[in-house]
Amino acid sequence: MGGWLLTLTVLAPLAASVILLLIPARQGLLIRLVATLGAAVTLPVALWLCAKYDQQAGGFQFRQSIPWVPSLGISYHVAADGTSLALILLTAIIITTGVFASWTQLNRTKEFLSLLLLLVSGVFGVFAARDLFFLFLFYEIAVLPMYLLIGLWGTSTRERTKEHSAMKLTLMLLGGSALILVAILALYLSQTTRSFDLDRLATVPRAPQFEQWVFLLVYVGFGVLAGIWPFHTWSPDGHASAPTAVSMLHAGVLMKLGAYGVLRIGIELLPDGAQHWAFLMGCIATVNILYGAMSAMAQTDLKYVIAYSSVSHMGVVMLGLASLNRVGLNGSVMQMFSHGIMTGLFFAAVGLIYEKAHTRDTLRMGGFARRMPGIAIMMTIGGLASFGLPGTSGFVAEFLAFYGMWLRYPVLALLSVCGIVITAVYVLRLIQRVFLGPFDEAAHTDLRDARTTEWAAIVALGALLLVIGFWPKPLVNLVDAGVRGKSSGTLSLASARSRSANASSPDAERERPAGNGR
Amino acid sequence: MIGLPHYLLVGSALFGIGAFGALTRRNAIAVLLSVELMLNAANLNFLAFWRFLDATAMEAHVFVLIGLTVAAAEAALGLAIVLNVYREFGTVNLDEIAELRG
Amino acid sequence: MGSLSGPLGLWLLLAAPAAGAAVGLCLAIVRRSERLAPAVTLSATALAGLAALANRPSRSAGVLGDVDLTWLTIGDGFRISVGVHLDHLAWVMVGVVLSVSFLVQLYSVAYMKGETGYARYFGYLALFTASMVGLVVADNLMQLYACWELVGICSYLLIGFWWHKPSAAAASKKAFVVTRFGDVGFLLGVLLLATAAGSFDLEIVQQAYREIGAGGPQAIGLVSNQAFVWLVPILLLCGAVGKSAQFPLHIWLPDAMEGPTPVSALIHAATMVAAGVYMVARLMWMFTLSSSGMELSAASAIALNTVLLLGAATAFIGATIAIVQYDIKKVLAYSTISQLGFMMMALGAGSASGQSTATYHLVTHAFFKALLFLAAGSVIHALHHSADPNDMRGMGGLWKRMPVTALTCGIGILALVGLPPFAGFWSKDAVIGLLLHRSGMGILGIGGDAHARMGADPWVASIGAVVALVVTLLTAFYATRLWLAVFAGSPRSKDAETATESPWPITTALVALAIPSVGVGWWLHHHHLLHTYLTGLRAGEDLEMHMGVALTATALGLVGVVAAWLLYRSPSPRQAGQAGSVWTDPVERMPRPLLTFLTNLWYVDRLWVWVGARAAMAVARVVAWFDRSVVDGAVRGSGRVVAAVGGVMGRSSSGQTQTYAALVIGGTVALIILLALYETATGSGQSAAAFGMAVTR
Repeated sequence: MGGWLLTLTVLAPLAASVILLLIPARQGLLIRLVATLGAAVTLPVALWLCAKYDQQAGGFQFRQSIPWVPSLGISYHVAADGTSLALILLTAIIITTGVFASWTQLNRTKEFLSLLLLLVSGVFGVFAARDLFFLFLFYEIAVLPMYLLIGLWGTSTRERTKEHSAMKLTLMLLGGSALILVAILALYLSQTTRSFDLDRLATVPRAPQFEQWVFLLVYVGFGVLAGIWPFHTWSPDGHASAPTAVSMLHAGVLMKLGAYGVLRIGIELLPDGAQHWAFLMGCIATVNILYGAMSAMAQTDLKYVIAYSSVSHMGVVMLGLASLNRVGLNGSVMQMFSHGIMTGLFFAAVGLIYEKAHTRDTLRMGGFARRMPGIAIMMTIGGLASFGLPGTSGFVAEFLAFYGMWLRYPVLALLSVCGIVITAVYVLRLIQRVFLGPFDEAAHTDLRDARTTEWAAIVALGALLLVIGFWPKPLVNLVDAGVRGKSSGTLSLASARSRSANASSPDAERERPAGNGR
Repeated sequence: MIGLPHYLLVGSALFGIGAFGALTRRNAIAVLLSVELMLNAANLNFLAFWRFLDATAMEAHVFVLIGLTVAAAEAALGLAIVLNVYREFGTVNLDEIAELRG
Repeated sequence: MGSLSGPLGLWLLLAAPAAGAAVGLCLAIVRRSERLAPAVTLSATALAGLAALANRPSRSAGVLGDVDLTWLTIGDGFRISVGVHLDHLAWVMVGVVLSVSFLVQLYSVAYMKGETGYARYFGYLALFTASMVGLVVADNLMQLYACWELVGICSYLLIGFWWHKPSAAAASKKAFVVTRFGDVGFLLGVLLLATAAGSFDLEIVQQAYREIGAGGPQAIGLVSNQAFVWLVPILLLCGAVGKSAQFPLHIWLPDAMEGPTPVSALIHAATMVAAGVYMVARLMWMFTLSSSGMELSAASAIALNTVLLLGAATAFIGATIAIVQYDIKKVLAYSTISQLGFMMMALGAGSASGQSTATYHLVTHAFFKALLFLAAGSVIHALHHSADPNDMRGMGGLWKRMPVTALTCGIGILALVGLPPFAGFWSKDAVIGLLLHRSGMGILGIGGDAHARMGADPWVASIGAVVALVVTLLTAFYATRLWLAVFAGSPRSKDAETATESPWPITTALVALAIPSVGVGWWLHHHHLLHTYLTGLRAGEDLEMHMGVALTATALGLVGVVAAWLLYRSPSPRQAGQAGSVWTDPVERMPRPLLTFLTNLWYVDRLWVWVGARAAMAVARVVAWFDRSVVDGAVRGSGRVVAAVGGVMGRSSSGQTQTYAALVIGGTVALIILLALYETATGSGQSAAAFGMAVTR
């Protein structure tokens, strides 16, 4: 049952994608309904899976395995652990809201939605796959439609044409794929039996030297998609050029594929390699955080600000991964989720603003809160999550990532923490420039707030940020069920001390703080 | 006595003439004719090897039949293409058609 | 009431204002029944107040209330909880927060009447109250930090309440970013402490901290234990410096006056800005680590010296700038900065006495400063039609028109000046007396004991004591100047002539705050009520009230008052038709360079603009340029290289299929020949042999 449901998340968008191509283009409403159905059906499925996942047992559940090419050891093998489920849930949320947010996409809707759903099907596949061959296959399915989606439906910016952005994005990601392919072949050939099964690959003993090099390939290969410095430059141009739903999916979900790949293949299969390169990963993550935030600060184009903030936030994801301990990995996955929702919200709102204001230049905006209070509120909530304000999901994620990193490389954690100030500066300035201040009635006559489906999309995302922020326990427990056991090292330098303190505290007389002693 | 080498020589000559024609003729129809020659050279070789090496095997006949079919199809398709090329470019002179130039 | 005592009541402390906030904000979003919002938030605050009363920790008992829930847990070693830990200090602070919050909300009912976003305003106020209570009753570092940030964002939202004003939008951003600057230090301190102790729970942290201070095994890889015990307090102090507007991060507070005046009273005078002081008081154990017996360790002395010196600098800078301000709220803002410096100085004195004295001044200040702000708000409300209702140059002679405001404001002024028997007198003298005692100077009848080191070093305490006395004089001057400029003389503008007294919710709140501004000082001082309640200790010699200090401070205060009176008493003549522009302020007669220096706010703002804003922006531009040109340039460059190579290779392609075919055939032939040659040379001849065998068979 569970395995079939996992397969359903992959097949539903795929089926919808194919069906869409068979519908005549003039049936606009039918096309949208089919697309919505294909996307939205994954949401209850993902929720059901998350609820049914046995957190006590942990590990991979909902397994389904069908041999495909037995002679090469390829099988269609899906299963999910807490981490995968969290990300599957994220994907389901983003694609559903993404379809809603691009309801008004008019130009060649059929092909647009078809490609979008194809892409999403690949994303679900990557998160569910337990077979390296299929994982890579799904990965490519997720990456390639992006070229057409940006190239055909994108918008050119002042500096870059949409074709340039699409080309750069595709080529850089394919460059990463080449490295991944080499790494996958190396992993495949390094065993005596021929199998792409991740469970089996995890048990194969490997030489440290081998692990180090292959990990580097995996890290850089997937890292390109995760936007690691200096391979991030596809991201600002790509996100700025892409249409709303594509930006949402790409920044919200696709970038997480990169981080997920590093976690699944890199850290899980090659733990020694991960240990060897942890400091490098930490350094690059820190650079990402600070460099991305600084770059965002200098931007005036709304989409570029958000795009660079994604680079900065993906740094937090990679920072958590680099810590290689349980708190840090939890933080990393939480940040994947949180950033996915947050950036989905950002791009949805920015798309709406652009659609109505016909400009993305923040210097030409101001006082928009008067005409679009709903968008202003949701954008502010997203902004608060972005700089990690308590009460939003961003806080939980960032704090866990910083804490994890602090246990491993305190100096890097110290530097990254400075990012929270820079983030606050550019986020608040963005809000100030766009929404606050006096409103120029003459310049923006047809500005209006979000409506119906658009409204539902951004409110759902904003509310989710707050709900997770105030009550993160269920999600963290889910993620932790997947993460625990992969991490190494202790949770705290003084965990021994704390355990002894915990053990003795019920009996020991509790002292009052100094100066209050009686 | 005429043996296998003679057949092979004739086959090679046919192939060489066909290749030369295919590479040098300017007219697209002449190129197609030359390709037919090359295909027939292959057919001749098949039959010669069958006859002199293993007269019990049936593969050679199969290949030759397939070869003939392919040749017929190729001629039909090739001529259709040539016709279309002529309509598009107004010529069948291959030197004047260089759409593949990098 | 009885049922409120216990866990239910404790949770209600947090839950009631939070629920009020939720309701208020929901009303704001749906834009229906906005007038219900104050009723909801007021009753929520009152309910929380009842819960606080029901759970008052008695004098003899330890902590009465201590409940918590797990918020987040990862494995065994990482647990974050949300809890209510209501000890004596927390209870006093909760009392201040809830009572001021209640009165400010009451006041706002009239003050904010007719504003758009009425419900939003009350929702924010309730949210602030909930966050502030959460901060005060936090039993773990995480909750402390989280609520610390939440009150910050409430402050942001409320300063920017009139978001359509560019100045308000800018001020709210400035306030948040500047305090965030300090919060980085706070967060790092929390990380250091939590990882060293392996827990966020304050009690466990305290225990671990003592062990580290006592020279246990090195707790953190990064720093030695010796460094740890001064680094952590300093890092946490960074947070307090930001939030409590201490030098050099005080620059946000005057700008924060862009918010509605009741907000200034609640957040930027009485409660939130005192959070830094409260935090240091709460974590006093961290600053007073004893090395042996009573002696304070060297590390703690460093920390306390820093606290005291920062406080002294802040008190002095704030008071001097307040003298030359014209905006009534800015005078009060700088006054708040100055008074917060006083509290920090008291904390720097260290030990239980420092803790209780700082809290003492915090409580009295909360009441009289809230009163002053609300009185200022009452004046501004009366003048709200004028172009700049905050400008004191357009006021004057208001005491006839607004007697209640004038009287209550006068009480607040006297409390701020510190004349007996008003509240400020008692608490300020306690601070000065404590500092003099720690300094060991042996003047004014105080026999300090400089040898038993309990707080900051004696020389530092001496500086603090002298600064405190000077600031007393300055405070008396600017406070009196404020009252005389606003209420005395004759009106200097049309609006001032026609002003009327504010409606009853405003005057009620004013009167309600005037009572504690008179009485709370003596009441808490009497038998050292506050000290014994907070610390459970008998008051030591350092808290004794000395006639010498009282007389000196009062004399200095009187000098300030009289000086201001002499300068401002003559009613400035109003010339018809030129209202507001003819009044020259006597302080402008001070030496020109000094005036320039003061009106430029000691150039601290400018410095921050240069260092903080412009330099950071320049770095950001360089980074962005680097990204577009160098990093992306490399990417585009590699693309160009490939394209160029392709172009060169492409030239060999004529587009002639026949040429391609010739190349293919030629290549094949060449390969066959090469293979044949190779096999002939090596003598293996496998393929040739196979071919030959086939041919000859």
